[in-house]
Amino acid sequence: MSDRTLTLQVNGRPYTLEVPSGQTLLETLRESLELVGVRDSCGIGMCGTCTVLVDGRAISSCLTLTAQVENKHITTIEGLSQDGQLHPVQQAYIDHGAFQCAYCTPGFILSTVALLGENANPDDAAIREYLAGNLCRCGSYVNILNAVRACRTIDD
Amino acid sequence: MKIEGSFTLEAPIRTVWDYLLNIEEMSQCIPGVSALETIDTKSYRGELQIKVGPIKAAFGGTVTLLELEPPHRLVAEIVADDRRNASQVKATFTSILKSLADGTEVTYTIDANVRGRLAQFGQAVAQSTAKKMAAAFGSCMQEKIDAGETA
Amino acid sequence: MSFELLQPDSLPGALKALAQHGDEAKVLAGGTAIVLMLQQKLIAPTVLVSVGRIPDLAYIRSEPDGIHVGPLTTLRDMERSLVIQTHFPLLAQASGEVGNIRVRNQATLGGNLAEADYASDPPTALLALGTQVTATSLRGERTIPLEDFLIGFYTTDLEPDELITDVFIPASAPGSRTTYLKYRSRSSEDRPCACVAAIAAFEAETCTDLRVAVGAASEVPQRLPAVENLARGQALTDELIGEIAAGYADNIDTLEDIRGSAWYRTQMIRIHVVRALEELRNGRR
Repeated sequence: MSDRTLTLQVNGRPYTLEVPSGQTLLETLRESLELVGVRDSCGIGMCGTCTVLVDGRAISSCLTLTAQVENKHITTIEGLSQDGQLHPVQQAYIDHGAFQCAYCTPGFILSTVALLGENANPDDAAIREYLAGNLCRCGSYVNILNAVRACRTIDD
Repeated sequence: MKIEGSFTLEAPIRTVWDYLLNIEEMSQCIPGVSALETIDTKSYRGELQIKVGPIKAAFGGTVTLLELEPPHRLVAEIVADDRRNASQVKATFTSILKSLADGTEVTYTIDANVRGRLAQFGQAVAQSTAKKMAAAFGSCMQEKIDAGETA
Repeated sequence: MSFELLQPDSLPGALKALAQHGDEAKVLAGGTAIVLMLQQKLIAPTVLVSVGRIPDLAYIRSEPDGIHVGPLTTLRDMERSLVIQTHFPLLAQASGEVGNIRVRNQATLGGNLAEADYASDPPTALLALGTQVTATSLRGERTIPLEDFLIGFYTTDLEPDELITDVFIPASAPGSRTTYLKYRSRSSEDRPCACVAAIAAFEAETCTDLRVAVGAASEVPQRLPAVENLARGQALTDELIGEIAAGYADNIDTLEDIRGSAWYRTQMIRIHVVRALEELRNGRR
């Protein structure tokens, strides 16, 4: 009902927007900013396709009101590449064929970036635990695991 | 979903039956019921408000008595909807009365089909809400019966 | 979703808003529960009071007699806190069992307790630990033991104008052993079908204190002091463990939902209380 004007920091750029108070971050990113790498699927925070990073932490944008993240740094899949170069995690997913339909891929890649931000050398158990909340219905899990292993600073 | 339970009243079976069939009196004992109207001898219209934590439901609908076997068994059909939560309930209510040495046991079975938003709320909450309502209903009925006897 | 969103930047501001709007207002903390209920249109508040801008409500503060945890502390921060991992490992464990990492990054301790979902991990661990909740309103402040705070399905003792402002977890006796067991009947990220939090103190083989909380199996997590006391001054033999487990299984009025029938939950309570107590007796954490 009541729209409010707020400023979002998305992928390093400020955006000033009119947002209905009940709008989710998922809706704002897709509809107002056309960042369609953020995807809607389960709508209850379980599948991970709407994952974005807020101040470096992975969250479900479907369970977040846009007003909650005003002035925080939001990263979507569109914000990972720099100067035309893919992020190393993006490149690793390509190198390992870590997707089929790729609907889940942006969420997986962002979760991986958050994981590596917390722990540069996660063991397999840590990777599995961290990515357990991202679902891939094509079943590319083995290749996803291989891609994440390749991103560790000490690769085995 | 199926909801079952029972309570015991300290009164002879015939008295309990008569009180149960006095719909206007009886409905005052169901927590949250209001605006009861008689449509005909077998059907009634009314509203029922239920609150579970932050979630409020307000059902409006009809109750129709389908089978009456005095003083042992009654079957009623309940059809109601809640516009705010876009939900519908269709339920069959069966109650069986049994004479005990010192009173009457009332068992009830509600076979409910819930559709719409409230459906996701699930069995656990519905069962427990029904149990609490039945307990409140039972003690209210007992009071009415006791008051009736002394009056 | 049509509501007015208020984002007060001070505690008094938030309390004033709650006092003014009463039952028509709901509190927004992390949002994982309330945004879901709004999306599904299960609730329709006219006012949503976001507490995210109130400073100093996210903390984990260690004191000689226990820890104070701020209501806006995320479950992820509790799971990863060294203080909690060291002194309250079962709480770190239970916090780390909730949903997935994204949910734990957003969900807060205060929100978790205020939601009072019966199928949630932290309340059971917190109940075993003897947690106290401080609620504040313009009328003043009061401290409520968790067993009195949790009343029923999604229902707490909080008044509409009250906000949780502190959660205190008393220190357990030195040398206490603790465990948290979560039993899932469906997928790995699911809520518990039943869960057991247990704390025991021993002198040599003798159990000097036992606390067991069972959750997700009934409307609110439960401790049964009369059953716990069977262990006091005794060695935890297989027989005694069986007796305590039966005490919990027989005295909890289990519920039925998609995660299991009432009968099944009773069996799962018995089995998991046995496992928890064996683990404590055998000295593993």
